Amino acid sequence: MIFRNSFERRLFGVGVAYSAVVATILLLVNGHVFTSMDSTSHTYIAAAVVRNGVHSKFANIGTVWLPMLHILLAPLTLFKPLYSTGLAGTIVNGIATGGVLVYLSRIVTYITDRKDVLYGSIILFLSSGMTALYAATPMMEQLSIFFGLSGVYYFLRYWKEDSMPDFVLSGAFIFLGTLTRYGFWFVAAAFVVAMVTKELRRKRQHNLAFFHLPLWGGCLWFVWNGAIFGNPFSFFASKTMELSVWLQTSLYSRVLFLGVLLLIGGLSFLLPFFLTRKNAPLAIAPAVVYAMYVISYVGNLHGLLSNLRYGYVLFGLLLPSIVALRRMNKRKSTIVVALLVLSVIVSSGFVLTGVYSDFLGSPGVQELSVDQPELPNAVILLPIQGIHDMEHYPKQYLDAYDGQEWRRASRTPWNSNVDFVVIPAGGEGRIKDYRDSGPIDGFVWNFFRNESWRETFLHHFELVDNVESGRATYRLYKRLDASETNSTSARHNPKRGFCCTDNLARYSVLRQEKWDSRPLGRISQRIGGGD
Amino acid sequence: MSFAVDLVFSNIFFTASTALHLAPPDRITEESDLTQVPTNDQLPHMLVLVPLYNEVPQAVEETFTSLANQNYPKEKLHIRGIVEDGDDETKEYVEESKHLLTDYYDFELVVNTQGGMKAGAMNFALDQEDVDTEYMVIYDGDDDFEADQIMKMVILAEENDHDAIMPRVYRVGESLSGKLLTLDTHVWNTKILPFLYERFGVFPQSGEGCFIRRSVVEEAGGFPHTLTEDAMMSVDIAANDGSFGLVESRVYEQAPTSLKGQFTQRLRWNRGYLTCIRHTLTTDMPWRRKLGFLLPFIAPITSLLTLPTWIFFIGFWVVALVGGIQLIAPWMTSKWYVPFLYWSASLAFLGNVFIIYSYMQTIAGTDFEEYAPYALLAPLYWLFLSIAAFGSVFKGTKKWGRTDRTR
Repeated sequence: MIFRNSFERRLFGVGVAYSAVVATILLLVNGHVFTSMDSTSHTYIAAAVVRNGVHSKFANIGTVWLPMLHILLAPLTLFKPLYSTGLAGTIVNGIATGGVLVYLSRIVTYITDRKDVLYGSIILFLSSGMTALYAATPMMEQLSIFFGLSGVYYFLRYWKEDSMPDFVLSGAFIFLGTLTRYGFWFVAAAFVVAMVTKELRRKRQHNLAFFHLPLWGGCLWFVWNGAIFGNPFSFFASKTMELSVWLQTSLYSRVLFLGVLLLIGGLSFLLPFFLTRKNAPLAIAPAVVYAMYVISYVGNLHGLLSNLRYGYVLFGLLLPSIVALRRMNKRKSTIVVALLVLSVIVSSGFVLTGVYSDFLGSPGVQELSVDQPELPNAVILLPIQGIHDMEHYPKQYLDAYDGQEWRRASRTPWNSNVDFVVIPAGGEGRIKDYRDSGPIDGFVWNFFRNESWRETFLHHFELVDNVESGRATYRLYKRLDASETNSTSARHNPKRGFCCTDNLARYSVLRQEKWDSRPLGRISQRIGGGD
Repeated sequence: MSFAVDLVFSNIFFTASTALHLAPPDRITEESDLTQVPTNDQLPHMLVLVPLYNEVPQAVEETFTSLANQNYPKEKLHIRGIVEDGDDETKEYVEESKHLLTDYYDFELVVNTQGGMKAGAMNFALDQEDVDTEYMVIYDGDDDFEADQIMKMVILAEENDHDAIMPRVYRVGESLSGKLLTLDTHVWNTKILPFLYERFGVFPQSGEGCFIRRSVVEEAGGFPHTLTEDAMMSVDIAANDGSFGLVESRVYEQAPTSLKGQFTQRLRWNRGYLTCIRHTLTTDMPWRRKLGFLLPFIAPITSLLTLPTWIFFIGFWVVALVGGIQLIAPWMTSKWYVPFLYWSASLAFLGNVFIIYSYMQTIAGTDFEEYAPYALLAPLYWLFLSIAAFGSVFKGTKKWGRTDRTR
C-alpha cells in the first residue's frame, strides 16, 4: 500500500495499534489469541504447510477454506511464539486493519470532504465488537474487508471517472478477495456485470477484454482443486462442505441464506454509488436488510448466527450513508441513523456472545490444539470425515489423504504408529455420518458400535482430554505405555522417526504447564474424564 | 534429467522476469524544464545520424518529416543520412526526400563503403564528420517522433549532465503480430524501462531516439560491432560511470509487417542480448548496474527455457496422473525437488496471469486501450518468442538481419 500523505500513514498506525491492544488483552487473559475453532484451524493449516516435518507441503492448504490467509500466515508460523499464541494472525490482520482504515478514509473522502464524517466512520468501524475480534485473531474477515474496501474504492473511481486503470486495480484487489472468502465471488460477479453493462452502454466493446480480471481468483481455486484433489469442484463437493452447518439445514434455509448473502454482498459493495440525495434511502437498504437478517436468524435459526459476519463490511460504510441522510429532514434521518447504529451494536453483540462465546476466559478445543504443535513428531489418527474438524489439529495426523496407511491404522490403531486418536463424540446422527460416508472399518464406527473392538482399543489407549467447543465435542486418547503395545512399526518407522514414550511424557508436562500458567487458573477439570 | 534441471533455471529466470512487471505503469519519467528554454546561442550543435538500409520510400520520408518538424534551431542541427554502398534504391529515396531537410538544415548523405552492419555505418559517418558537436542522436527509418524531442533531450542532458538519454519508443503495427509487439513495447516503455532506471540507474538503449554524448562514443572507439550495438554501448557508458536519463517524449516506429519480419527482428535482438550478457559480466562496473542490464538481457534465456520447461512440466503432470507417481523418477518426488514443481505450477498459472494483468494495466487509460483484447493472446505470443529464442542460438553474429517493414 502506498500512502498518499502523513494522515494515511497515521491512520494505518492506528489500525495496527488497535489490533495490538486487543491482542494484548487476549494474551493477558487467555494466554493466546485464539477465540474460536476456526481461528486455531487457520493457524494450523498455515503451519501444516511449512512446519510439519516430512509432511510439510502446499497441499496442506486443503480444499475447503480459501487459501489467502493461510498463505500469509504460513511464513509467520515458522516462529514458534507467533504460532502457538496465534499472534501470526494478529500481525496479518493488524496490517489489514490499518489498510481498512486507509481505504475507508479514501472512500469517505472521495464522497465528501467533511472531516467529521471521516472521523465518525472510523470510530463507528472501530467500535464494533467484530472489528476488535477480527483485528486481533487469525480470522479471514478483516483481510476480506481490506480487499473489499480497496476493490470498492477503485471501482467507485472507475464508475465515476470512467477510468479503466482504476477498474484494473479494482480487479486486482477483488482477485485477492476471491481467494480469501467465497462471499467475494458474488462481489466479483456483481462488479463484472456492472462493468460489462457500462461499457456496452457506452459502445466500448474493446473494453470488455478487461472484464475477466476479478474472476481469476475463482479460476485459480478450480485449478488448485483439480490439480491437488482431482476434482475442480472438490471444495464444494467434499465431505467437509457437507459437514458445514449451513448445508445441514433445510433447502429453504440454504436458499434463504444464499439469497440474503447475495443481496447483502452486492448491495453493500455498491453502497457508495447510491449516495445521492434522491437515492439515499436505497443506500441504507442493505443495512436495514442486515438488521432483518439478524432478527430472522436469531429468532428461527440460531445455529446460523455466525453467518452474520458476512454483513460486517457494512459497518465502515454506515456514516457515508448517514451523510446522505442528513440531507433529509431531521426527524427521518435521526430515526434511520438510530436504526443503523442499533443494528451494528446488536448484531456484533449477538455474534460475540453467540458464536464466539469463548472469546474471553474459556478454554475450548483451541487450547487442546495449542498443545499439539509442541509434539512435532507425534502422529494423531483422525476420522475420515469432518476435515473441517480435523483442521483444528496439526497435520502430523493420519487422515484419509494418507490412503492405505490411514485405513490400516483405522482398523487396528494399536498396531500402527499413532500416538493419539481423536474420536468425535456426538449423537446418533453424527455417528451415522461416519458410517455412511466412511469405510465400514472406520474406527469411529467401531468405537461406538463394536464392543470387542472398543475393548481392545481401550486396552491400548486412555482418554486424556475431553473438550467441548461450540457444537462439537472431541475426545483425545493417547497410547498407553508403548512397551505394552506391539506397535513395532511405530518405533522403526524412518519416515515418522518418533518415539511414542518421549512424546507422551512431553505431552503430559506441557499440558500441566499450560493449565498452571493460565492467568484465570484452572477453570474446569477435563483431563481424565470418563467416556 | 536435463529437462528437470532446466525447470530449476527456468523458474529462476521466469521469476526474475516477472519481477520487472511489479512496477506500477506510466510513472513520470524525467521532464526537461521547457519553461526556460535556452536562447539559440546557448544551445549546442547537434549531430543527427540516420542509418538507412533497404528502406521503402515512406520510411525515409517519415523520419525526414519528423526531423523537419523539430523546433531545435535549424542552424545547429547537422543531419547525416547514411546508406550502404550498393543500396541504390535507398539512396534514390533519400535523394527524393532530402528536400524536406536541405531547405533548412545542414544535411549530407554519407555512403558507407566499409560495411560492418549498423555500427560500422555509424562509425564510418562519425569518422567522416568534421562538424564538432557535443551530443549526437540516432534515428532509424520509419521513425515518427515529437517535434520537441531533440530540444527536450538536449536541455535534460545540460541540466543533469546525462551521457545517454532515451525517449519512449513504441513499435506500432496493424497486423496481429504487430499489435502484440505494440503491447510488448508498451510494457517495456511504461513499466520496465522506468523500473530499471529508478532501481539501477541504467538501462539498455535502443536505436530510435538514442541520445548520447559524443565524446563517450569516441572514447569507446566507436559503436561496438554487434547486433545490438545500442544496448552494448549502454553497458560501456555505464562502465565509465556515465549518467543515464529518460525523457518524457515518444518515438513511434512501424512494427514489422509480417510474422517473418518480426521473427527476424527477434532473432537479432535475442542474439545481440546474449552477446551483451557476456560483455556485462566481464565489464568492470558495480553489481547494481550490472543487474540493471542483466535483468532485461536474460529475456531471451527465459524465453528459451520456457518452452521445454512447460513441455516437461505438463509431461510430468500427465504421467503422474495417468500412470501414477511410481512412474516418476524417485528423486523427482523428493522434498528438495517438489517445491520446484510447485514453484513451476505457480508460475504456469499465477505468473502468466500476472503478466497478462500487467499488459492490461499498462494499456488501460491510454491510446492503446483498444488493443486490450489482444493482450489475452499474449501467451501465444510468448510461445512465438520462445521459438524465436531457439532460433537465435543458431544465428550468426555477423549478418545483421534487417527488419522488414514493407507496406
